[in-house]
Amino acid sequence: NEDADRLTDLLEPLETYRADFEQQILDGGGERLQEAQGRMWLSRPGLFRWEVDAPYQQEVVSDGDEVYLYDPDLEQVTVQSLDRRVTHTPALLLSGSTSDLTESYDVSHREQDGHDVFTLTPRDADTLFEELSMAFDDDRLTMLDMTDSTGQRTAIEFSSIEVNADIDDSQFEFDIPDGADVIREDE
Amino acid sequence: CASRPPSHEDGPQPGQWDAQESTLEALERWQLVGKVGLRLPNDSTSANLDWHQGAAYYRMMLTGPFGSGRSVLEGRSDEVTLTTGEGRFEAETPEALMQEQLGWSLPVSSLHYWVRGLPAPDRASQREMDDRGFPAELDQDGWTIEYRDWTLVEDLWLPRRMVMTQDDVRATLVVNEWEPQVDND
Repeated sequence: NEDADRLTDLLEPLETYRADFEQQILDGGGERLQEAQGRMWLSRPGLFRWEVDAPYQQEVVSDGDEVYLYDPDLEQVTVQSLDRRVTHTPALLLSGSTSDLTESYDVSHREQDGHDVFTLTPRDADTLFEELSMAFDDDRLTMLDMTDSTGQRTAIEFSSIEVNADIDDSQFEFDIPDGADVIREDE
Repeated sequence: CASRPPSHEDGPQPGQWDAQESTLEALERWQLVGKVGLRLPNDSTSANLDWHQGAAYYRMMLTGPFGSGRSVLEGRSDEVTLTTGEGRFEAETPEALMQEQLGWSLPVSSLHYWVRGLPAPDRASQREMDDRGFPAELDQDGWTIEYRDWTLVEDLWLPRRMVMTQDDVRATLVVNEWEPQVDND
């Protein structure tokens, strides 16, 4: 449909994306339950790094094949295949191909105080969120917003955005720290 | 020798635990941000923990990164509810509720005390102190709690890293941010 094409036109030229993020988790009533800040790097297809700096530390790295979730406090690394992880990691959706996106989600567009907001509703029910919206400010992605079936929301706002700058491939490699507890979730 | 106020650099000092234990026992309200790591015989998981503790209400939220897989445990004097992606559930005790819905549970009612370095009241327990007089290990209800690290918040030493084991279950709690509400009325 036309809205899906419009989203594709916005996402297609996006090869790399780098930004600081502020993530908030809100309950159904809008009360803020959790806040985290950090940085995100993305290189399509499939390469992704998400580093939480505060109030705790955490890293999520996709090398295009596997996704590593590293928790330095717990000295624990969870490894999962990329495709299993995608539906749980909305930000990771961006690193996928646009056609996958518009095939597995119904897309609708609206204007909202100067932003282009696209609302994506998953076609199959088993994703963790009921609705995902992406806000663009003159063609630049500025916000991701996910609501789950109980009405709780995860809102991610991006700033200091760089689009299509070159990002070294090593940014998407993850070497498991020695001594870390490795948990493979696929077995 | 507890005359000098606690300071971060020198870490917990002898006498400081005794000086603060009654304050910790009186502590009823806090906010805490941290991580829970869980090792079960056939499964392991980790989650972010946001714990809001009031005098008669608590909310403990467990989330994966990006807030996925959220479970919110709420307790009031007579009612405990757990909200997950699948819906809202109720039970008498948090332990039963977690076991039913998550397949694992932590002794939440006792954790209310253990997280302050204290044994839960009116039940047998054993506590070993380290050479500075701070709790090193606490045994209660079949659980062994090791206090590995402490953090100083407003003149109070509070646990920063705890490892709790019972048979083949091992839970690690790391606190990244402590906000005790000490009523100094």
